[in-house]
Amino acid sequence: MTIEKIILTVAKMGNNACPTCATDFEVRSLERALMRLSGVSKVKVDEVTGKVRIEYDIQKIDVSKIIERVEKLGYLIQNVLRGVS
Amino acid sequence: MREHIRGLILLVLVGIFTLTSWFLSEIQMLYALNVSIVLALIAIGCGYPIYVKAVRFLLQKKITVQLFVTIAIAVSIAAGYFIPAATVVFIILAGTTLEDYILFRTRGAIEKLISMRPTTARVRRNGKEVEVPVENVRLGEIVLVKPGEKIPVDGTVVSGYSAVNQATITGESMPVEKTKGDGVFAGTLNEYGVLEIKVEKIAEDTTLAHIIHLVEEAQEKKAPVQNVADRFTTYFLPFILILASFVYTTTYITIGFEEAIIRAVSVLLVACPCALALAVPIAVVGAIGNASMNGIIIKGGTHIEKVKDVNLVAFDKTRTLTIGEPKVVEIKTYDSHSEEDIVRYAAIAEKFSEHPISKAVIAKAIELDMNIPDPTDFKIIPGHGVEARYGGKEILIGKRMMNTAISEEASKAMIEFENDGKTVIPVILDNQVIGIIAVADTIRENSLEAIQRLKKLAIKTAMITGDNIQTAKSIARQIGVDEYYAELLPEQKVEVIRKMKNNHVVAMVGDGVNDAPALVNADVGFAMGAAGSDVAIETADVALLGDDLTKVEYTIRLSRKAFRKMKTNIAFSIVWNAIGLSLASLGFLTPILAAFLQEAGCISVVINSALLLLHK
Repeated sequence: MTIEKIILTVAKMGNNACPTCATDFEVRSLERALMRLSGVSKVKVDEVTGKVRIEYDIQKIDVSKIIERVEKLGYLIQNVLRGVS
Repeated sequence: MREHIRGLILLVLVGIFTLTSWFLSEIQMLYALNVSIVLALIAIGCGYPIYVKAVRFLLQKKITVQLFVTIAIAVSIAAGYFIPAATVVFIILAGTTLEDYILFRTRGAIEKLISMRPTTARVRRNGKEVEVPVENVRLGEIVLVKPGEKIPVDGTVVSGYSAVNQATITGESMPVEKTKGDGVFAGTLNEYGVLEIKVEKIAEDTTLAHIIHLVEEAQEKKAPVQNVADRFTTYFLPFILILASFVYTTTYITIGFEEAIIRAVSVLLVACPCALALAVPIAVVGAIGNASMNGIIIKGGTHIEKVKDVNLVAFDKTRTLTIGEPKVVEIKTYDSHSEEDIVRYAAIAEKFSEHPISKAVIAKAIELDMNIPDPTDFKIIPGHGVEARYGGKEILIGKRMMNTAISEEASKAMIEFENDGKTVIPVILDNQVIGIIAVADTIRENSLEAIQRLKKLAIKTAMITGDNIQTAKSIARQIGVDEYYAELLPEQKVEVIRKMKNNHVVAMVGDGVNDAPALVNADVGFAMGAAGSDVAIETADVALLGDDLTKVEYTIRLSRKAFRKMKTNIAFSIVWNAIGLSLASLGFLTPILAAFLQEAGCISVVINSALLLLHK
């Protein structure tokens, strides 16, 4: 197991005008969808800043797969920060 | 689940503190009032997630409803309304917790699919059975699945016999028989009998994983009607801030400080753009979730809007309305021969032929429990038929093999069969026509029902096929489609679809492989029996994973209902907001009532949409 951390900055977050109700409607679904990828161990989404922190095992999944998944789920990736500790 | 529990704990704490605080404020005791205020402040403090978010969003120059709530609470505290402020926090937290839970359940359909994935597999390694985590299974290995267990991988059965319930994938509840050579899907249930399966796809590559991914993606894709709601909410929030200031100023001038505070705070609290923001996406998630539980993948909100307008459904014939394998449908006998005789002679002659029609004859012989001896001599004459010898007799099969005079009765029967779109195979024994076998493609069990259900929705139906006119006409008559187009090349099918589109919204139903161009050109392309083919799932707008054609009508009804919900939700939230804001501005609401109305409006919308999951 070799865990790597990565931070993606995505657009189109927190657009839900009413986060009291919609609280984390989008955020949670993104978190869950990514957690379902085998090899991904931790996902934390900050809907205010649009930052998605992901921890994954580089032996089990390639970062390109994670990025592809985020894009397929309809998010525009603005920035990728790799090897964060 | 963890988030729900955290939310619930906060809610209970706020509830207890608020109640105690209110109780203490009512009794005459030393320090009771002071304690009451402290408790109310603690209760308000428990609403910290709201304030934190409000400030963080504000720093990003975004106005959100949390900001309104925060301002409202701050103003109330400043004005000395501690208990009402705590009550507002309680109402908002209660609403949020409930909505969160409903939203979680709305997404539950997909959670159910995911729970179908087994986590371990029993693999045969070095002659021993070992249980390993499913992600450690390697391609080409042999996996053992016992009765009552879920199949962990996609693969082919190499030995064993069982019935497998594939409802997870295809939505069909009847188990399917599986034996050597049959493909199986991960996540399906082995009902009895041990199966040995050669692993072909694992983890993220399995059909189930593919379906889960597609459903997740589809649920994120917004419906066009969402844009209306989005545009509205952009202007809505700044408008509320202006309205609140305006109400405060005018009331302050006309009535006074206290009433001004109450009205302004009520305006901030009653505003509920969330109902609007959520009106569409939850309906999309609910409808797609419902579909996925029924073996249907709708590829996104856009398609829901398209499907609801469909008023003409065109079906491909072969392998869609029909099974696509010719079968013996009728046998005529002459000269005191029995039906068994005819089938037997035909089967002997065709034993070594690979032609689909020969296979139909052999299948019939097997169905009649016959032993088929080898012919002593055998020759295929391409395009004509078969010539064979058996027991010293000559057997000729096929219309073009006839060189003898044929009885009037037999020739009449042949013409009749052909007019019905069947293929005729005369069986000739020593220059005598002893019988005629009629072979035809069979109609799928529920084709008829599928067409009738569409008619009930006042939707026109059509069949398009590359087959000849007779066959097309006969099938069209049997299942009752309104119109049919025959003898079409693939590009002509596209042409037909284009013409239909001139005055209809057209859905095309096919297998998604041979008729992909027609599917793509229709307004909505339905691929059926798509579970086995990634191509079909990709090309279609709606993929029917099994081969139940009645799901076409189901999808249309579901989409119509979903769209109705989106529209009523939007209309409801606009009216609800208008009424709430008017009442608050004119001083008919207290802040507590305002917060309550806001949450009630939001919850109504959420529940209304979530109910789509229960649609049948």
